[in-house]
Amino acid sequence: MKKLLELTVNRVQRQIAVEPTETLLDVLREDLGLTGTKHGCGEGDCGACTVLLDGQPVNSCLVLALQANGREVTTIEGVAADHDRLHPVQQSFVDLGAIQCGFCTPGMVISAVSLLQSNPKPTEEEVRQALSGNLCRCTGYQKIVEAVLDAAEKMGTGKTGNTADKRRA
Amino acid sequence: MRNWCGEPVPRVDGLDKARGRTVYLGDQSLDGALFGVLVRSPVAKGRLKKIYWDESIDWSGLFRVEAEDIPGQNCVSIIKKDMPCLAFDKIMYLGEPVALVASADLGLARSAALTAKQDIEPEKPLLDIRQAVEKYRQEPQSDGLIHSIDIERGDVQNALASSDLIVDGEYWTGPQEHVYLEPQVVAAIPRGDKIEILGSMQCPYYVRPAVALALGMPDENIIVRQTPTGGAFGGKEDFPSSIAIHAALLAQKAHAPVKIIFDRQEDISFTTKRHPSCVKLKAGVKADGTFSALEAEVLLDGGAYTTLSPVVLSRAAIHACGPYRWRDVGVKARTLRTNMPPYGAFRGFGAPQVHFAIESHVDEIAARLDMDPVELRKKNLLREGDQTATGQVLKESVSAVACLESVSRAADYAAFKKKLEHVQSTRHKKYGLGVASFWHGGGFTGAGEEHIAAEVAIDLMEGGRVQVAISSTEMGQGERTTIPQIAAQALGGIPLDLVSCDLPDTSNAPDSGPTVASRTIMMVGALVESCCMDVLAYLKKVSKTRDDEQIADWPDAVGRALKGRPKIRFAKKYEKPPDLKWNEERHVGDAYAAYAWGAVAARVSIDMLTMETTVDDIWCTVDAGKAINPKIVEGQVQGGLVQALGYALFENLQVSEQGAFLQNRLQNYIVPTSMDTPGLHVELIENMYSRGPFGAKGVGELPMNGLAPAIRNALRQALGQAPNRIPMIPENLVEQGLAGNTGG
Repeated sequence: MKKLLELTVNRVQRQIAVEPTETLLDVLREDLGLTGTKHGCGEGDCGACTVLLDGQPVNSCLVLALQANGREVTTIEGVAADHDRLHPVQQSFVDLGAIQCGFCTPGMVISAVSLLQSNPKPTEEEVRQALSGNLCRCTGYQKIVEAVLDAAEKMGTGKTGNTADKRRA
Repeated sequence: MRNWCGEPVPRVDGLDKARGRTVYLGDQSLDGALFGVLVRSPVAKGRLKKIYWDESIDWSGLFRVEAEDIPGQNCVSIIKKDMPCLAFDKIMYLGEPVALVASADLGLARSAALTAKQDIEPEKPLLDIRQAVEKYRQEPQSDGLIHSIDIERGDVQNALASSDLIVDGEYWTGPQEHVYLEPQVVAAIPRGDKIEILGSMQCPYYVRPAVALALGMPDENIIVRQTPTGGAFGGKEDFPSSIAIHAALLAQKAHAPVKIIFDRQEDISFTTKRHPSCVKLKAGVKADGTFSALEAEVLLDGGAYTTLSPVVLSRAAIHACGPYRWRDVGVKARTLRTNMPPYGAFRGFGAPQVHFAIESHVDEIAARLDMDPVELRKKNLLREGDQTATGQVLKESVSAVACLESVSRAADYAAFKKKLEHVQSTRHKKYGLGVASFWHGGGFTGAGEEHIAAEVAIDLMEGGRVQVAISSTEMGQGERTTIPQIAAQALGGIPLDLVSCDLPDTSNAPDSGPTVASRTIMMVGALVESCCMDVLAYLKKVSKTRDDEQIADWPDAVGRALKGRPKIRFAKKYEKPPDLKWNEERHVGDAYAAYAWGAVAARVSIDMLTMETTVDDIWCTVDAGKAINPKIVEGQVQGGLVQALGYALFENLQVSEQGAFLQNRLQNYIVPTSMDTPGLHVELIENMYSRGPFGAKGVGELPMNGLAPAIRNALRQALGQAPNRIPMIPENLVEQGLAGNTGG
């Protein structure tokens, strides 16, 4: 029997009737159409479905939707300050070549954003540790790690230009 | 004029991917779509007599398809037509598809599929490459062969007999799963007398004829559109044809769109993998270290059906002698049949297996001669003007020595060797530095490019916009960015944002061939460049621009050419250069138009208590000709190295007595994480290839070839003896008697 789930997703209040067996990933993708969060394994191994739950990174395939009741969820669609801007981590991923097929990217970005929230000046080792739950099969991780360090530096100095957006306009 | 080639411009698809806005097929909801699921055989070998369905459940809204419902030919056509879409008599591997079920509710489809009871007379399967090799060696002419290739050059027996030293060795490699992050997914949508196929794939023009043949429809009634593809690595070369047929069969039956999306366990269990191999080498060497003769037996496990095995075998046979000069060569290469899911394409395509063998063997030869492995390589590496095993004279763009010198310099090889003498025996940890040289032929083997006869098209549109229409796919490797870079520069350095290259749709894009074999930049890119030169010549004519001048107003020149039409198309087809000669039967001649080269060094440590190997640093130098986009090329090399790291150290697939892979989840099939990956020091050498676009060769597969033997050679240095089998997981090292010596 369906139950009412109330939660905040990307700063918007939501009420959805969900089955008790549905995962947070199902609700985000199927009910809310937030398909930026990817289904890579469904078992919590690959990290493609990583979202922030009350600011902490979780594998949304391992969280029952109702466990998110009354809580705050941030997905890739909501990491930037507003719809037209990029989060500095996203910008560095684009600029430094940290993206190839793109399927791990949303989860990677979320894990990186979470790291920089709690540790604004991480070492390379700390970055590698923070991303170790997110598998990438394309990049060999090197450019991803470089992008996270780059974003940290720019956030620290306040130089977070949005060049890619301008180029596009 | 802007030189776009050589610019590390950001990827065109980067922004959408960073924002999570790229819509993969699994993210798309198709109106009225059903989910298709496969009913699979529960045994690895047997005779399927009948399938019984549970008629007591409610079948309304459910659709099912069996072999007898197939309107066309029951086969997945690729090289041969021996693999059925749905097994109907012979069962050849565990999990072979026997029937299909669809429903709007995925859960319902799955439970209905589970009610199928298969009446099967089981037979004894052959599951393991070890058993297959034993059987082959007892009776080499048996029916267990999928394909055979022999390469002979000179008189290998005589040459071996007169060598100063003979070194024997046997090397084994295991299967490897691609683990593209996006699992297999296709959809089939009925559109009147046509069927549209959407899918995550590498080769739209493999899917089209395969679906047409099985559905009994003309090719042009099958429209194939690639959807954004979350990694492929060869795993989406031939496999999507098979499930595209399944989706199309269900869609036709249900008169509704049908989507088939694998979960990770199904994907690892039943899709293609890298061929397991056993390579036996006998090398004849002169006392001064000069290589003279090499005899190689290359055995690959092909699994149950032919699929791509003949061409994988061909690439394995040709690369088996390594990037070295051998005067006399005898290669016997065979693909053996077992009752496993067909092994298939995976980045490197037969080359990583034989590189593990030959590059390990070179270090064995060095040890027997008491020579330094780097010096031994340098003495024997191929140089310009040398001949390969197939008798191909290397006329240009040969960088084997330069790559090795670059890597040994970067890794400070000599200093490390010296340092080792002091630390080696005093710890429970042992250290080693190993190197390997490698090469990779770009494009299809032999006459392959001639057979495919790739075509490209350039569309000129209003505002001076240029669209490159090709069937080559973007799967993460950067094709949608680098192909426009080539076109923009070939058109005289026009603004890059005027040029685009969309995901292919067979109703618009000509067949530029499959996205495989490191051929997209080198072969398709060269055709795009040449087509653009035709376009430029034409536009110069209509805009009355002299040959040696730039077109002053590009949009205006294009407007003059369009004369009010929405677009005009220019096309170009591959023509074989007359000097390339190939004899397929004897495997003699110009096997590849050009080769990319590389060398890699790995510094490792091994814990003598746990036998766990850690790679602390990797240095790699490659020559793939002009790097059209150096950032993308670096990304290809880094990504390939880490796949090779997994192949060498972690990725283990064992087969149960029933014929199932035991490691079929990402919990137990271990691919490298960010923590397992050391610093990757990549350098590029640009040794131009005269026929490549602006000098470029292929780079996609190359970095997969050398790292596994480099790690093995580092372990040899650390342990004094070496494993001959990958993955080099602790269990395998212990089994090979390499444990127990803590040195202290």
